[in-house]
Amino acid sequence: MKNEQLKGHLDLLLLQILDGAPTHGYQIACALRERSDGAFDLPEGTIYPALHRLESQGLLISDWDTSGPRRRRMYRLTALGHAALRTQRVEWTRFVRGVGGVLGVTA
Amino acid sequence: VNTEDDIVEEYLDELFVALRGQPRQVRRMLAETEEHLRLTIIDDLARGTPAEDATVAAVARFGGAAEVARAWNASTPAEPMPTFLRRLAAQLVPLAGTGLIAIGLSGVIARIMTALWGRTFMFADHPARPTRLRPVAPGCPSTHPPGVAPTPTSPKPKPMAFSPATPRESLDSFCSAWWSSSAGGADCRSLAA
Repeated sequence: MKNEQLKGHLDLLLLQILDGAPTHGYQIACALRERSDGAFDLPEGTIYPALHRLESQGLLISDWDTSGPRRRRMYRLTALGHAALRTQRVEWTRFVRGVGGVLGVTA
Repeated sequence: VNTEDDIVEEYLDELFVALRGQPRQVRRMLAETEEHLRLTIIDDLARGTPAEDATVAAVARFGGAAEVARAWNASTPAEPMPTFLRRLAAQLVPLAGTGLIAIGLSGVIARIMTALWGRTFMFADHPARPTRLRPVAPGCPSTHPPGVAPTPTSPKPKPMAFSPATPRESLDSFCSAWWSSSAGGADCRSLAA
């Protein structure tokens, strides 16, 4: 998938990956690559601006985890983030169903 | 410092220069970037990749500094005042303040000295102490170029008449003529000494 196409859906993907335990940026990049089976090969550094933006929108919160040998910034969803994830999943499902209907492809 | 560290440090330097925004946010981005690169390198080393190759690959996967900075700057709200203007103002404000304090102090000192020694001591061009002595004697060269008449609106200086015989007589007659027309003191003759 082209990077420009992926960027349009990056927020949804990040929210989905963070729908669980607190996660740091490197784990998010790995999850994005592994769950897409290598299809989403975005420059990993571009994840961080998106994470910071989502945090400034109140969808995420983050703090430094200093329990290990190196400190890591851990991200997790807020209540607003969970709500945004639900909304965006519904919109995405409707969109895929619509495109599939037009193309004659069942998702 | 080994080569792998150099590669990471150079990348962080590039990114630092290209990132825009609040210093705290920029520092956080750089810290996360460094951590991300270190973890990527550690993973690759664990898979048997040589250290330098792992470092180069980690930087490549993270994306070029310009590309990452473009994504960052696009998602960062513009500052009310650009960083370089803030730095310039931070330099100029103390300088201007120091200048104003110096001007104020010089005024205070001038007032004190005036109170102690009078206005004629402080201000050389005070009306009570004429300092210009430019008599125009007959035969002095004109200030106008040859063949050019002075403009009618410009007042012609009134010549101060005296006829020098010897240098000493010349000075004496000049002084008496000048001091008789002014409120000067009696120090003129000391100039001839």
